[in-house]
Amino acid sequence: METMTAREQRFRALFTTHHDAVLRFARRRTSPAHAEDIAAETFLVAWRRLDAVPTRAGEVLPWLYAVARHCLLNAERSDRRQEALAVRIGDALSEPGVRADLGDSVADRTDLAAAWRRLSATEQDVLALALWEDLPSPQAARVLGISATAYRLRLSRARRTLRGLLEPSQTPPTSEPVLRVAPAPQESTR
Amino acid sequence: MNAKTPTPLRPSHPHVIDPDTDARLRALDAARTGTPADPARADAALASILASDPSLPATVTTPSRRPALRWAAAAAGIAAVGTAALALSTAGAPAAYATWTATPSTVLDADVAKVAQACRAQVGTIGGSHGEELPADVPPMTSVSADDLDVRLADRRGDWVFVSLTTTTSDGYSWDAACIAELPAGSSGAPKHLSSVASGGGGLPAPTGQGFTQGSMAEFGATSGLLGTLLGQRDEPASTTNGLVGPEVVGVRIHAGDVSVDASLKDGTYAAWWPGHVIDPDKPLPPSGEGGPEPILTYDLTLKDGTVITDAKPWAPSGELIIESSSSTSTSSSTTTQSFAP
Repeated sequence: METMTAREQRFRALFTTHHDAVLRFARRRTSPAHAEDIAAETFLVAWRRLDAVPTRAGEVLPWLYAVARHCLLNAERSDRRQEALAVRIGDALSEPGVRADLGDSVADRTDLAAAWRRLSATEQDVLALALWEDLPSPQAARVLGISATAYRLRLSRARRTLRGLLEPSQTPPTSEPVLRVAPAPQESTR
Repeated sequence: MNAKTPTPLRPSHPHVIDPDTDARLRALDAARTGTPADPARADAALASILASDPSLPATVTTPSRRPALRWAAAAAGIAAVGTAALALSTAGAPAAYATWTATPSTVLDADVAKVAQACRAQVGTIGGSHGEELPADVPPMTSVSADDLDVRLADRRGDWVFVSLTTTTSDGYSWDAACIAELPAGSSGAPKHLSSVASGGGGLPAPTGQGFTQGSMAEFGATSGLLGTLLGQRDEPASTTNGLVGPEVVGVRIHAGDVSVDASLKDGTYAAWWPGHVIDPDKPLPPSGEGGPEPILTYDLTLKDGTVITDAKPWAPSGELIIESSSSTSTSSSTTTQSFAP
């Protein structure tokens, strides 16, 4: 049984180490103001369920992301049922801090952003975990509450769809429409 | 606590799309654009969390009260079930209801007044759109202040006092609020662990004879329906329902899964609450506007002459019924605002 002090110390360390990452996770998926609430709610859950928070380094963030994701999904559920979270994309054209050394033109970035926005929420969800949260498949799967195999399958589909959107001449938009309109697979996040 | 370069866990994939596209997409990271995060707010959140008792319903300082889950459904046949739930509250912890009794006992007027006052304060306003967009096929809701609700009935089950508040507005909507709060008999303190649900509906015709209606149904606190699965822990929610009975009915026993509860009856209305669910927690909520999940409730009616009708069927309301339900829980001194679907 931890003393309150030890418990507090552990939680402070958890908060200090991971708050920024959880906030970024939320900011990618909701407005900056709401993201702060989501991060706070996530850590409140962690505080109340500290014994349930994994202690191994690689497992902590996926656990926190999963809590944050549920908070976000439930906030969205006020009007409709959702199983996937749309992921926002930065408005790079107006951001001075964006790296300019990638050699891509404004048109390229516009195309990329447009292609991203044409992805389904499910596709954005799985791609974002790999791209921005930088999670390996097993951890990303844990965030979504699905198996690693199911995650890899979704990632592979989403990747294919995005490639198709970026190379319309090689992959006509009509070739895989089902991927963009199909509902989320049934292995649910619950 | 600004948004800085992410610390990768252990990238196992050499690339997601291809190295170039990955780099360009990563440059479009929404977390690194827009207004920078305010470190002071993160510090305030940390202080707020640490100041909360981890074993009690806790409060995070958030700028505004977010409406609890609102769910509008059009359903014919049975009354639409509005469920909503709460998070971050221990009101639903199984141990909390240890004193609950299946048969209600009378409650002192002074205790009813305390809980009713706290209930009205927590419920605030029922109805209205809260600025949210409702589906096109759902008519806009009117609203009513909880201060306008009258106590319809109240009971005591162990340390818990239940109040059912109601009113009917001139447009024909009927409005209900129900609260449970821990207020042991003889206690001079304030009610604790108050949970509330509120709903508005089209109103149902009063049944005659042996008839009865299913009014609103709601869960006070399915705290961890989603999170509980995730966290490997599931708090037990409490549910409530009410309705009308015909003049021949003198007793209503409600079966909700494994739980049976004798409702309180007064002036042609009944109401009950119990630890547990009102719908099957393993079945997902439908999209709003597409009807409701089937409640798990069955009813036994006792008539004036002593006859018991088991598995009695409710009167079906005619036409469509719109129910809005919301729910929240708080301690006597704090309010939690996040909602979770069960």
